[in-house]
Amino acid sequence: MIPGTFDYHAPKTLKKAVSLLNEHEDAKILAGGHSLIPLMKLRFAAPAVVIDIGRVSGISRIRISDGHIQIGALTTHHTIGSNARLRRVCPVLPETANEIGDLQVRNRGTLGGSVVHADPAADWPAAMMALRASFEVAGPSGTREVSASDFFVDMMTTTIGDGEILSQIRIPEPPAGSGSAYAKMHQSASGFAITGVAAQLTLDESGNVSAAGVGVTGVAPIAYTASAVEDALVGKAPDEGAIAAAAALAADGVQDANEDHHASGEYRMHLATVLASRALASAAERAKS
Amino acid sequence: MKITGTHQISAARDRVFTVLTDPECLARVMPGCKGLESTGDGAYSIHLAAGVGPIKGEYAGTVQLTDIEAPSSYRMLVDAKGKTGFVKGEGKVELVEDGDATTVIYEGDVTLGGPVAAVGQRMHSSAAKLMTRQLFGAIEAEATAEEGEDVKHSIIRNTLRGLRSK
Repeated sequence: MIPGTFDYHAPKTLKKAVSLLNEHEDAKILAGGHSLIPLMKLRFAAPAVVIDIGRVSGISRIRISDGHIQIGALTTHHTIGSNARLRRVCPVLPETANEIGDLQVRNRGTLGGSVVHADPAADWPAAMMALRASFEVAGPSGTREVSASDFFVDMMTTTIGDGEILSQIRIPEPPAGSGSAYAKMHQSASGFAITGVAAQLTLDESGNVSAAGVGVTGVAPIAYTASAVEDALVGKAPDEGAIAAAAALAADGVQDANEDHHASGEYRMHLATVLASRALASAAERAKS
Repeated sequence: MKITGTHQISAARDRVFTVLTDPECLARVMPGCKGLESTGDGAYSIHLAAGVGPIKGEYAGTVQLTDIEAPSSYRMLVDAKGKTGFVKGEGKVELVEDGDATTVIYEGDVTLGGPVAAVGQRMHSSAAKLMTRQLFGAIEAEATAEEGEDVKHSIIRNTLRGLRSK
């Protein structure tokens, strides 16, 4: 449980972090360290250089302005989970944050670290898909913006290049009449999602769904948008029947579902439909109030 | 852990069989292959840097192809070990003509041991599927390339190819 030797850098600016990353071969970014450090202790990962971005300024703030929620990549799960304004504006974010791991993990672990690690059982990717988040990625030649649907490529694989760092996460501010929620079945030892479903509904004046976003994690190698569920709800009143009929489509089109000794692929797909209906029911409730 | 599945590749069966059994081609298409040398009689020594995302391990060992019935089937035995664990497996690969394309049917049983087996358990089956997707993505590119064309392989590229050709 002792990592191999490595060089350590702790830059204070994002620019410096990016240039260090591009100067060194086999360098890894350290944020909260709750994925990388255990891997290094087991020597499953043995980077030659670790660049700790914990002291980089400007990437650990939550801002809600100009129709966007902007969350710095270094913001901890705890900071998001305890943000009173987010709880009002976009409850699925604090709800997801508070479902992650244990207190220690939530105090150190970061939103950016979690999405970049892209664990197939991570909680955040479901909310990122449901909320149509986009990611600002800083590289040697400036920044680029990637949508959540293009960001995740495969399990533990994203479009982030070797010389790039995720800096900000942007989410469109939910319009009036919106409600959102996260429903999850967790693995009791690790707290990881066996399956998790994030949902956001926006209702029009007559109480019908004008927009729906549903993201599912834990079932497939990467989180996905359950577009069949979304399409089935738009234009309808989100009553019990409509939600049940839509939620039944939550694992539509999934091939090769994840399976391990905790849960079979079939069970995970079943959970997706059950949890989708719970998340949608809470989201509808919140949208009405 | 059982690994079974089928994958369609849009190339003729002879070509796919060559890519799957020719050491030079195999070395190019295997994810993380650092070296593959024929030691005669269908046996190869292999050096792999296998892994998913930040998890990497180097493995060295042997691959033995037996019961070779070109171009339709063969059996494969794999035995490799590294610092983070060992892998042993055996399986059967069948190639079936499907019009201009070829369907590859694979069926195998793999045993993992050591730290990688003890700790990474919830990831094994997903990781195996990911590497299979990468492998077939690369085989597809290699098999459909024009003679003499230089095919570029990278993990993301091969994954995307694997997903697209599904």
